[in-house]
Amino acid sequence: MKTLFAAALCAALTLSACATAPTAAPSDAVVSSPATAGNITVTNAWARPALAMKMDAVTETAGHSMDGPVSGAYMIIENKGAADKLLNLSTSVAEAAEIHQTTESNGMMMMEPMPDGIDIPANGKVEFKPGSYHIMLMNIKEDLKPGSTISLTLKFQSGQEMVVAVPVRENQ
Amino acid sequence: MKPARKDSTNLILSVICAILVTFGVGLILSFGPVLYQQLTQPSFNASPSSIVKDPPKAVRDFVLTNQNGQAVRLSDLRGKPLMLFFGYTHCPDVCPVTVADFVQVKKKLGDQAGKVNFVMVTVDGDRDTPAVLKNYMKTFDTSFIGLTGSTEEVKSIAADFGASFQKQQATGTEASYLMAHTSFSYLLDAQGRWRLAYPFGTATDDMTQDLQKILGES
Repeated sequence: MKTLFAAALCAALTLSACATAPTAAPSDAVVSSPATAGNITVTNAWARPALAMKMDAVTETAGHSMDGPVSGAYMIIENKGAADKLLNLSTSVAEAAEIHQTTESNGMMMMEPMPDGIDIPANGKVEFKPGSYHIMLMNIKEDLKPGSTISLTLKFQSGQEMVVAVPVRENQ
Repeated sequence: MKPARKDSTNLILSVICAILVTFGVGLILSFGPVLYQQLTQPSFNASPSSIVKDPPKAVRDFVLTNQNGQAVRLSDLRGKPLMLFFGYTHCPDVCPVTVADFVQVKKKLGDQAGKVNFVMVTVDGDRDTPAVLKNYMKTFDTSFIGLTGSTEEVKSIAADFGASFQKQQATGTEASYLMAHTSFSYLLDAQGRWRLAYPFGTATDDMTQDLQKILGES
């Protein structure tokens, strides 16, 4: 009887844990499946956690519509065909998703927006990684918690469009 | 005979003198450089990636506002070594890498984690209000201290470390502006003296080892 009770309690706890905290899984366990469309394959995608804020709290001092919290996303884009170009990205969790490059000049770190997109060489790859190319997610609209997954839509010059599942990982 | 004896005594004395001088010069020549090196070398055996501030530099005291809206004086934080970084929250790449490195360092310190303060001073006081800083620190470690103040104030604090920043007029982005900034981290000891600087991307093991040594000093 005791064992049965314990088992039931265990099951109940597991269920409630699932119901209340679907994002509680260890972040390392979340792996983005490689996404492929045409000649393009995206692997190792991940995004930084960020917490949405009420806009009135943000605009109190800043006053610009894009001054909300930000996040960064990374991935490896591999191209097995002719030269292509990633033109832009979009997501439902942020107001904008821009391609930026971190550059260093005279000891100063800065970000260089790449509004025209980024070339993906024929039979080559482009790596978005910390300290280099990254995707800046602006004005986060909902909490990006470690363990959760967001989706990013990538548009290429070739006309190819693909949706990539991007897990949110602990900041690293 | 007397003068002759005096001469021989003089000769012996001169020879002894010459031997002693030669020996002395030899000693200085052979051990001098080592001694000189020991006297001038930084006394602190720091990790290879760090830049040692030798002698340690007393940091000018300052007051800024933390993420809870409270005034924090740098000297109030004495008693614990401190890792310091100048960054901003609307920074998707370099700043979170450094603050996340601080999270790793804290983890690696294990039992000693509570003996170190981790501080980010924002270089973007216009947007980084205490509320925004608080929201940001939640994604790292709520025990980390986020400090904000006027641009003038933070500029002069940063200058004491040789750090600088400026608004970057952004084109090709929807952001109202971006910030260009130096990206070093600084280690202050429990007496509030600046001891080490780390370039962006320094291994967290190096910072951890240095902190452990600093903690072992007291």
